[in-house]
Amino acid sequence: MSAALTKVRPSVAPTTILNLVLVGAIALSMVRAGSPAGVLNPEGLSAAGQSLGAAFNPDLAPAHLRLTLAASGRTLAYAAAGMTLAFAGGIPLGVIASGSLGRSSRPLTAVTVACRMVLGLLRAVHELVWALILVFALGLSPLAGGLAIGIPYAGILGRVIADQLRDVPESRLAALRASGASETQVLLYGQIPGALPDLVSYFFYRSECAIRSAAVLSIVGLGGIGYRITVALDDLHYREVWTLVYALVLIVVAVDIWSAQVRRRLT
Amino acid sequence: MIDRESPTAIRLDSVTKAYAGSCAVSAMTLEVQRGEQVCLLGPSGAGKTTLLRLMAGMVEPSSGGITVFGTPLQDIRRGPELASVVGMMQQQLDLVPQLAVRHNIEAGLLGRWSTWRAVAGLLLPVQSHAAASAARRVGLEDKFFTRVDRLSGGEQQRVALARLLVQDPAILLVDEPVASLDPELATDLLSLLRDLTIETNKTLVASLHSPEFATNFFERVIGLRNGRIEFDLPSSKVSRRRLDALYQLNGRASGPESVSMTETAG
Repeated sequence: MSAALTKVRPSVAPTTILNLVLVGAIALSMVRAGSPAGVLNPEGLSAAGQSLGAAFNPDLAPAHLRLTLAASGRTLAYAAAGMTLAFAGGIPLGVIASGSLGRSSRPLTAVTVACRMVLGLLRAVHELVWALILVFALGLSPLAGGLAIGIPYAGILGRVIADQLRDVPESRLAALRASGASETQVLLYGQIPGALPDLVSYFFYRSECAIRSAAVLSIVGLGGIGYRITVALDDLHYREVWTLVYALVLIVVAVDIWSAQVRRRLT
Repeated sequence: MIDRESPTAIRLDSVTKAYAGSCAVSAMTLEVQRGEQVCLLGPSGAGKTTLLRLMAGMVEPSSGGITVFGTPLQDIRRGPELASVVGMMQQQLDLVPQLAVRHNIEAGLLGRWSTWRAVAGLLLPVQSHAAASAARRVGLEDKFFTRVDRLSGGEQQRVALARLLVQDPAILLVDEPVASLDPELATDLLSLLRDLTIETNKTLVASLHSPEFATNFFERVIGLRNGRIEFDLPSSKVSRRRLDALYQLNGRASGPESVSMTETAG
């Protein structure tokens, strides 16, 4: 019995081999780099200590707090604009891509497939890349920031909406059809109620992601928390950096609390 | 137009339904008169559910024809028209658990509602009288705004019945309505079903696997086994021996009784 089992399973898993190869490659490159001092910057260590120490002592001066508040507001605005665009694009595309609005007719099937492809295209490119392209095309405008988040997020939301709508048990929908419901009515009374609780918590999770993305995107010059962090880092003002980081954490936690409350009301 | 006053509600003409080589229903010929209350009785796998689905137009027969009030079933348009003629309550109920009792009952009205009325039904407190009175009829008026996933199995069964009532089809097809209920609740539900059918002058075909309930609540009992009719009798004439033969294992009917049964079949 056990002999048969060992025959089926190789004694060393392929992932273990891969990990060993990677560790070997890293070790080899360290040897090639010479002494450990060549790899680790001893001055960097004290800089790391300084910056981590500042975590317990963030800059709470009124002027910097005002700046943090403004940067947070801008980041939130980009996130909200991005999510709004994502909803505007993702909900209709997702509903059509789910194929719920008539599964029988051939032209509609073509539209469904086209929508699925568009959704794939939108989310294939990361928001940071969209930001670089859009800043190049539109300049440093708020529109570029909103679109950079809105375009890939529409692709992601649309895909999740389509999948969730399709996951509702078919027999439930067949029962609605048997009582004379049209496809739109089946969507309203069967698929949307079935998918909504999961979708709502996913929307909130995506909003958190949008806030983080907006913070990162600001680095390309759009302004906001990320931009302020890079400026403060360049000036080695670690205490200011941490104030900004805490502001970002606070926003994300606030969204999480809000989402928990909404979900409690829904279930 | 479908003539709902036609004396024959459902007619099956040597209907066969085969799934992947095996026959769920084989060469069945059967008539159900308007206003009748018929029970399909038999062990699991006898073909009760398939027969009901065939009558509901949810599956197409492999061969043979089904007419409803004299109109071929396949000629009746799917959607509101079919929904006004036949309605089926499936064993797994197929309610929408996230919606309130009210919305689940109102789902039975969708065939008569416009899309806008359906949206308004979901978003606005504009309940329909039909849904409210159906809820009252099945004893769920105090649970009208409760989500269906918070209800007990017996209560969910009543929601499904109320949905079928507001759909208001001429023929009610009900698959194993009491399979998951304790005897007391089962008695309540079956008497409710019978009373409603008589009150509203409808035709009822239900499947059960309890012979006691079948003979107590229905006027006509059709015994099914392996996709064939074993007997088709008024419930007063269904004998113990016939029932024993119906539920016998391996399909080996024995003794003279089995001979008489094949004579009455089909």
